[in-house]
Amino acid sequence: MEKTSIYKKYIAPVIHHKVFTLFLIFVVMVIIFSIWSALRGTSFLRFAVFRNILNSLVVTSFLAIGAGFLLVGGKIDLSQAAVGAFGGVVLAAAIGRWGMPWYVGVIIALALCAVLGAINALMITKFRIPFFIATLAMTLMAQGLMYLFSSIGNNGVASNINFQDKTLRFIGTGTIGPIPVGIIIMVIFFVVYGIILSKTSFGMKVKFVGGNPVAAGLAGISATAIAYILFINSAVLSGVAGIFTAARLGQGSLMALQTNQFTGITAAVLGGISFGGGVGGMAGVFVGLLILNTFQIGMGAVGVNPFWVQVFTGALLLIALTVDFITQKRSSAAQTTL
Amino acid sequence: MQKTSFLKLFLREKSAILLITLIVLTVITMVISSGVLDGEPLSALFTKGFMAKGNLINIFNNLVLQTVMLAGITLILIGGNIDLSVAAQATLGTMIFAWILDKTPIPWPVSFIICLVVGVIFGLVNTFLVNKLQFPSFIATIGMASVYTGLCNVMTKGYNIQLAASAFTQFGRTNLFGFLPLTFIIAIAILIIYQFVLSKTTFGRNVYMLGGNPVAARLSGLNADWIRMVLFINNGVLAVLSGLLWTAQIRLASPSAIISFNPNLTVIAAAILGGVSFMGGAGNLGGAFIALMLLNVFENMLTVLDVQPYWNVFAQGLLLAVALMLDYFSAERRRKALLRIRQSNMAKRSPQTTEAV
Repeated sequence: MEKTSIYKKYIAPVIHHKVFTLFLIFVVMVIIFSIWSALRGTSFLRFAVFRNILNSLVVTSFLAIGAGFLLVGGKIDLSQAAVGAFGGVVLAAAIGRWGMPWYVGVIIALALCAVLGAINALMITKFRIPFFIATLAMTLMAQGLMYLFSSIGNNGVASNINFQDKTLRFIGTGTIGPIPVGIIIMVIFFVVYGIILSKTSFGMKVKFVGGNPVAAGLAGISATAIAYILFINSAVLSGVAGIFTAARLGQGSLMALQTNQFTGITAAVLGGISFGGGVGGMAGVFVGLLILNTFQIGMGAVGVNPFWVQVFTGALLLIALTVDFITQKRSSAAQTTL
Repeated sequence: MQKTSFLKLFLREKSAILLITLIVLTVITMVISSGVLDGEPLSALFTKGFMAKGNLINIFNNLVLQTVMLAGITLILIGGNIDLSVAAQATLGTMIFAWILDKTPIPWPVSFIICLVVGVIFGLVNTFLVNKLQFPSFIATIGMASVYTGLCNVMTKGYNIQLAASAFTQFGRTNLFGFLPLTFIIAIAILIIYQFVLSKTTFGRNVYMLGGNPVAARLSGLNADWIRMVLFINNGVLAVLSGLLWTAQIRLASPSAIISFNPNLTVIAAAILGGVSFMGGAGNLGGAFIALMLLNVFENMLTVLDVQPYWNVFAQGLLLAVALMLDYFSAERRRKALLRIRQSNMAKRSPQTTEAV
């Protein structure tokens, strides 16, 4: 009797949690890669490898947090990658061309990104443009602005902008002890946003609006205000991702984040945030990203052709969704039998 | 009375504004780019700048790929789903086609048919993911796009395949009257056929019903899974066909070319701009095609008018946003007009009801 209650109280919720399934996938993946690389005479289970994996997901984690929050609120932002690249170029132009101190550059870049996010929200809430197409339009506009920004003071030719700044270099590539600064910042962001989503009334409102917009409206929650906050938040986080990319490269690149248009959304969905909005947490997003990156780096470590890795990444996403689908089905079946 | 109401009806159509914008844009571009303003004779309007044969062929050629994709994707959207793997499907189709021609003695018509069958398989895969596993089509097709793109690169290690000259490539470069590519006529024919299916057949009506209200559709005995399967298979075949027509023009199969100009999102944007509902259940191919032309002509216009390329991208985004805002204003005006009519009706009726009481 005592035993079952403990099981029900502490173990069952963990096992039935979506994140647990994802974590199992992660563990299985690590075991497979460890054995595989051991057979090839290299070792996968090393501190350095995991530090690499975590380091590789720093940039995309900001995109994923923004996309995750939006998705919980029932919306999607396709302009993240373009806005992020724009932010990186603005930062590089501010420091490299106009000789501003780094913090001013960061503030300007994030402020401009916030404006783009606000325009997104304006198009969606005021003019009722479907978010898909509004953020697509924003993608084009942000790209255009990025080109224009990089061509100012360069004889009208858009180009990558190099810059040098010790602080940004430290933030991008430095380490505190054995741990890269980027990882520490990423963890702080995940914890803060996780707490906001699950413990504060704002987080509850976001879930409410995402799960049932009509009921939320009747309950007096302003969906418009929440949409503004979420879109600005997503744009600013994209800007942070862009700044990180720029800080790491020492360059505001026109091609930055170009392959990441769907990465944030993919990680969020992989992390168990339902597509209809209303459910999900930041832990899931983190594990989702972890799976994606562990897979890619693990495949590289065991020497798989990078083109095949692209194939398998798509397959992995579908497999993870399938596992999730099966567990959901089983748990709902268990609930109905109860 | 009859005449004015017809005009009003036309103007009330969503695509009417788009069509007028398209015509106005075209005329402005024609006038400026032909140099009539700088003293060229009037006949230059139709021979120089925008209306020059080279430019027209360029526009039509660019439209072919997107138009054929549009036919598939619009149907999917109306049916309440989305497919973001179309560009990847088209690319993989062309890669397989070129690979067969390059490595085997199989003649091109056979290879063509094989590729269309591959398109059917693409459709079946998506159907399986959406119907059986009940994934949201948005995320399922993103996953499949990654798979297909990877496969394209695996096939040739990322290199392009050049097509040897044949009747197929000859066909891709044939222009009627010197400015109308044959491939474009095929694309238009496909569009007309699909519009007919959509508006005049039971199947078309069912697609609208499925997209508009899936629950009601199921309750009224519609086989939703079957309709979705037909739509996805159709989309796969059209995607591959669009890729093959593109290959015929370019004489090249490349693992990254089609994806690099992102026709997928352009086509979806055009469909929505043209009045297709993102949630499904509304829209038609005519409006979507006008919107697609508008996007393409606008892009071409910026090039012809020598707008700085960096402004070009920005302006395209702005066009999308502004066009949809105009949409909002017209919808708002209509809503207010309806409200006024309803209020005046109420006002008329209310004295009678009070008398009755």
